[in-house]
Amino acid sequence: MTRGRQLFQRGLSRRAALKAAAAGSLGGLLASAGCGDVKASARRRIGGGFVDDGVGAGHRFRDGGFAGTGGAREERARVLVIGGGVAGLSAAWRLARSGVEDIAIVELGGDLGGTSRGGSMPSAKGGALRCPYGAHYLPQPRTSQRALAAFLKDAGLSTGETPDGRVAFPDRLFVRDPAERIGALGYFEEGLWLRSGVHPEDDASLDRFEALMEGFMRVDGEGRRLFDLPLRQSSLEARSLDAMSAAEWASQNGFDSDRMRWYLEYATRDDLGAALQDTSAWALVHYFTARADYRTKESAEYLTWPDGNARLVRGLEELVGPALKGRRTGEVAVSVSPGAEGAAAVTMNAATGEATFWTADAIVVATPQFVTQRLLREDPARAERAAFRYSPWLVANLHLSERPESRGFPYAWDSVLHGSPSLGYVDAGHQLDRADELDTVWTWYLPVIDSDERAAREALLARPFESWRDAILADLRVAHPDIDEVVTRIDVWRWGHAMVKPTPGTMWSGLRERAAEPLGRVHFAHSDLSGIALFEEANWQGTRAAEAILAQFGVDDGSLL
Amino acid sequence: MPGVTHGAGAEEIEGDGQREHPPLGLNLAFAVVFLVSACGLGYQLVAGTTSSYLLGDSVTQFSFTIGLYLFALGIGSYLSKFVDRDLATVFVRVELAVAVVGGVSALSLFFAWESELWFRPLLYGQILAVGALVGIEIPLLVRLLEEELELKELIARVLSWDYVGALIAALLFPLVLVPRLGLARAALAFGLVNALVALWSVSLFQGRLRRPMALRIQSGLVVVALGVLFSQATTLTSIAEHTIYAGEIVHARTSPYQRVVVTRANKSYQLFLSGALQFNSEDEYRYHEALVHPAMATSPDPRRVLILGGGDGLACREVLRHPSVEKVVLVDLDPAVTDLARTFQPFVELNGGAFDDPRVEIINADAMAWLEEGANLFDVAIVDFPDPHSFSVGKLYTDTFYSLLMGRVAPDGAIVVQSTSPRLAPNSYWCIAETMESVGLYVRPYHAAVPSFGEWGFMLASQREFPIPTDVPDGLRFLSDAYVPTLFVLPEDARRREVDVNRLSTQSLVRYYDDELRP
Repeated sequence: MTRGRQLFQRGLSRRAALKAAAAGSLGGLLASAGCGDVKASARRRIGGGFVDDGVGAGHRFRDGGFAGTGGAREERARVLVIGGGVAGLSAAWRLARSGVEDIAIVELGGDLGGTSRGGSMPSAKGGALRCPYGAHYLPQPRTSQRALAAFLKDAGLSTGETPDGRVAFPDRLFVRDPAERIGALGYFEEGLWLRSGVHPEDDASLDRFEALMEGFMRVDGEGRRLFDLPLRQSSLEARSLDAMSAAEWASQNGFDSDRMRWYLEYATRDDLGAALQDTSAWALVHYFTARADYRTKESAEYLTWPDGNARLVRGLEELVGPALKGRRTGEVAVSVSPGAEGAAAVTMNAATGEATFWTADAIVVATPQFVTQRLLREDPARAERAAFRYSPWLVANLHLSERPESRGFPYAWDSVLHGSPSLGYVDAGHQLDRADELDTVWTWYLPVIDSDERAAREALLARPFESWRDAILADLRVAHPDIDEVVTRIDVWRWGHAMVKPTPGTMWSGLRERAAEPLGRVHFAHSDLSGIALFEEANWQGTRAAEAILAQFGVDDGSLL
Repeated sequence: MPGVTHGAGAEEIEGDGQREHPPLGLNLAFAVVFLVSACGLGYQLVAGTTSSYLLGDSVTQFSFTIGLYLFALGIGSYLSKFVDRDLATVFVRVELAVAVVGGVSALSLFFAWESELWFRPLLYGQILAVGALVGIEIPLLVRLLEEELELKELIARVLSWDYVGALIAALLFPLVLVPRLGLARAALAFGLVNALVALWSVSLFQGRLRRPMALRIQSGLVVVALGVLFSQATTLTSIAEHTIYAGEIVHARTSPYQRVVVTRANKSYQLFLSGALQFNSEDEYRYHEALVHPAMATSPDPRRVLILGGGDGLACREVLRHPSVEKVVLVDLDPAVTDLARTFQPFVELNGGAFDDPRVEIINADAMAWLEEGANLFDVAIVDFPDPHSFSVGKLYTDTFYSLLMGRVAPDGAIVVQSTSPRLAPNSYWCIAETMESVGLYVRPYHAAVPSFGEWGFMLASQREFPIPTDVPDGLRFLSDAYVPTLFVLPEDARRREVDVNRLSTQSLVRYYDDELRP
């Protein structure tokens, strides 16, 4: 067997390098779809289609389709939350926690949760298998992430705290071992660093990189971590890294080999939705250091559920429920008007066109800035909001009648495909206590990291389902030649704006703080105001906005910030 | 011979052979007949034996093999009429083809065995191909020799050498070849003989061949290739998992979960799941008595018993010895195993028809999922899973699993867990103890000698402290009241070591086991 592996190693690096060159563009993936067609029988058998919602209504809003709202119904709420993603729900949770009632939430999409939404696919064994449509894990937080720790406790998920200062959870909420594997040319290895065909210099580079990162896992003279969560608590000391891109930083530090670049860009694609050149070097280092324990240098374990962070969304909804006056989905916000003692907004049902005129004592605008900028007539931060960039993503859930044959290291939670423009797939059935031989769902992720996001977004929305189906199967076929035989259905979710990009020079330029400035009784909350699309940051931004409202209401209930 | 005509083109070569070619050495030619037919029968035996060995049911396998092979001989004989020219060249080529197809037959079957889809097509394809090729050879030889002898003499001598060859092969195969060489190398040996015959025929038919040098080189290459395979065959077959089976395969089935194989050797039966021995009927009583009775003795009143795994019904047999037992629930993932225990006669005899006992309920489900769903309590839980050789089995040895299990066992109830070998896999063994203790169980490790497995280990546990059990049923073959306490004394080479708790998030046990027992 070892002999076979050596054979693989020889042919590898050149071909991997060629493939890596093609990686990173939508074109790379779609070009590969041409090689190895889906069999006609598989085409007929494989069901599915697009499952995303909200795109149509969003575009109508953008194109002025909801202008001119006469005869609006009137509604009043103590606080109106516009945008039912994690930031909006977290704001509502924080308000409810301090006794605020009559909260209303309006959401454009068909359900709450934003990019942490999840769904399910019918199982061959009856019932349904849950799966994520977006974010799918949460690193074990530290108790210093006070808002998040409080939410996890309120939701009954955490069990206390660990001796090393992390929030404690039952073991079964953590990603089960084996967590990750990486495949090249159809052969898998454990972990994310591909050892097949590795040049000794690459291994030395990785060691040097890890040592550099450990150097960044420390506190400054005032006891602040250089890279922290919540992100805004990070020390001033390393902020100059924001001036350059991760690509420039990698070159300056001699991380130039294909293998090393692929490894680093896998990280930025996976967590930040951006190519190395579009990522602030500060954000890259943040990714590798912020979750680790700065004393032991130990990295955090991951919490996950079959439907990913949709489980956390359910937790937020349950906690918010009793304080809710209204919860409207499929409802698009048209305008928001700040006032000194209150605020007003107009929203409209996307299906019926029925308008609602809201008055509230405060409004949380928990939408991404490309939406927010269209809600405000007079906006001192208009220029700032226009500078935010977002990466499109495609998330596909594949129902498999059984797991196909796989060579090398056995099935893990996350299977990364080296050299692919996709991130590979996460097995939604990995955390389930059912036999591995039964059917399962794989969630396949494609961050579209092209620098021209608008063109990429248009291409993403223009492609028919069949084209995506073939491209996804072609991507997986490299690792699993018989994938066509076991896939029964593919549900594709297209995210036009899945993640804010932490582009160079925007993390600490003041741009995001200015966009977060409240306007009277109108407050802003979204992970894009942090610059990195993390559950932790969305939760923190929501908590921050909610506490500012609590201050305006004269409620003094301590702070979780 | 009717129908044998020489085409115009053949005249130049074959024509009046007696004048153009030197006469054939007749005795040498009959030696070729003898060898060719011996090899032909050899492949038939290889196919029959290999398929019986791998698929079980030797009557069916040998019937199919012989019938198909004879039929293919007929096809080959018929096809031989289309060979009009270059008889000797065709003969050498056919001989080489037989050498290759027949020579690698057993080896390729071993490798194809895991594939439900390919095994049978390959098996029957090989039988047809070898049969047809050998079927071409004998008529060709007759025609090559027809110039040398009168027809009645020729037929008589060719056929008698043919049948002598068959007899010799039939005698050598079971007595010498299989015991000495094994199936893969026996087939390769026949292939080598065919290839050497081809090489020899090049000299024998000198003058009747078009390009003797090319044929000689081709034959030489086949001889070398088969020779290399022959020398490497042991390594190659050891890659294919099934060669570990020492006995004759009497049942084999691939379920969605595993490969279920029953073998018979020395009048005893062995059950293998995905290649790992589960029990040998010769000494399984030692294992199952040691697994069951100490736990039954620890519960003050064992009425409700839960068995997780143990689909062979043997642990159940031991449980049913206790008259206090009112209900046994057995949860095993694979219906292929529980069905076997209920319907396969040798197993039914072995487990005493345990699964037909009205007190026994069988549930085919994943044990972890099943534990979560229910709520009723048991007095004794017997955990008899396969060794933690994969991550999917490893989860059944985690702290999360033992917490769930503890929730289903009465506070004064007993839990026993088969725990790998304390001698061969001490880290794995103590990891199980450590993990059980981490959820608050009081654990007493013990062991027993089971010759088929070696030194084997168990964990006896309860939520409260308990004494070493002494009271086992009378009339057991292995355990007695006096002997049981000695099981709880562990030898020095199995002493406790520092290990990590096995968690879902770390699966440290699978990693220990892999280090200790992976070949």
